[in-house]
Amino acid sequence: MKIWIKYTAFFGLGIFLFTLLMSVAKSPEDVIEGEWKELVWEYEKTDWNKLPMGNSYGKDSGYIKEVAGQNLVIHKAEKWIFYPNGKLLLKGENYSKEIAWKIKGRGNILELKYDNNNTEHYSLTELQKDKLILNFDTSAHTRGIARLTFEKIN
Amino acid sequence: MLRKYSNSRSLSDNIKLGSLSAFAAGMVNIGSLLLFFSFSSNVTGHYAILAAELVKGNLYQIAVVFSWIFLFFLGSFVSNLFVIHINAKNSYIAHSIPLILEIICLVTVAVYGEYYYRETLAETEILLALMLFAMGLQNGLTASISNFAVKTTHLTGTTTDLGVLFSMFTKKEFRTNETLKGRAKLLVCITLSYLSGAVTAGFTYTHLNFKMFYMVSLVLVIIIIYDLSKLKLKLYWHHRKLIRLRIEDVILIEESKEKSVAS
Repeated sequence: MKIWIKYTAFFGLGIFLFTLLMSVAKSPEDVIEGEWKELVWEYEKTDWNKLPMGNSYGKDSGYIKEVAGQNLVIHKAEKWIFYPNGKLLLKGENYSKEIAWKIKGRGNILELKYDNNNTEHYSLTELQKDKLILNFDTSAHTRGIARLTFEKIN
Repeated sequence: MLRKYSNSRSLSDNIKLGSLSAFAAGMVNIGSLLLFFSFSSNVTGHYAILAAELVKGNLYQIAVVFSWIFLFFLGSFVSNLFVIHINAKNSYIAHSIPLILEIICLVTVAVYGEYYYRETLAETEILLALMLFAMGLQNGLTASISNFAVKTTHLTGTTTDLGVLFSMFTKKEFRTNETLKGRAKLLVCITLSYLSGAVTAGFTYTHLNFKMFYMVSLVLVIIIIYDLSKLKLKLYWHHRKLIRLRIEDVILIEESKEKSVAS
């Protein structure tokens, strides 16, 4: 076989594989659109000995939300509604706030932008049609990595 | 810096090329990390991510990371293609083309990022793809023309080689070896330049944002112009020498004429 045929076949195969994968896969921007309900806040990795009463508090979702999310706007929310135009509506009990969302990297970073141009970044650890897991580093009170799990409700 | 090829290159040629291109790569890598949350000058991490995404079965991420690795490979391929096919005709042009292509890629990222970027995922991935292609071009060029002595877009091999060299220098026979000393000097320069580029990008990111890629392009232009200026300088000296020779010839002819008239 002539060498140029081999090279064309090699690069053609690469382009074919990429096109095939892209046509089958769904963009994370499309998957995330819709209404998500917070299920649980957890500590994935943390300095357990710095938590009051040690390990038992480290498993209390409400306590973790209070501690790990205290400086974050999202901590008042219970429902997250992602709109296709890049708007995110955070809804809680007697609380509603509209912010902007973007997905960065290879689809693994969720960027939230507030009116005052402040931004927060969350790691999109898992994004399926009915389940969303976000991770973020915490530094308030306890150093570690927190995890938020959501289920899709609409 | 660019004209000479393979073993005809001096240590000084490699240090100049290595330092400047490593500075550019350090800036690009940190620039992409800060702007797009992904590295663009090294692919080892991307191979690890590809493996992780394959395990998770995330088809979209597999496609994206695969395309990034493929484009880095393509950059190196294209770079060496120019070097080996045009080198015999004009080595300076053969070695400049990959750098010109790299500048085009980086300026495209800068212009698009500054005026058109709406921060969509597709845009982010395409701009990152361009940067990975640009880094592939640069790494392919420096490795190719320096006989694999200079690789500037990642420091894994450089750090390994430095570790080996530093352990060799515990023996006197190696400490006095000029080749090994030169190699160590080159690797230290590459490492420090890469780090300087990365730190510069980190400090200037908030002020420059996408404009930092103009700065990187300027560094690459310096690499191209340096040799061009040397070539022009050489031509200038050659021209002056010719003129001087002609003047001397005229004087000699005049003198011989005077002598013939006198006789």
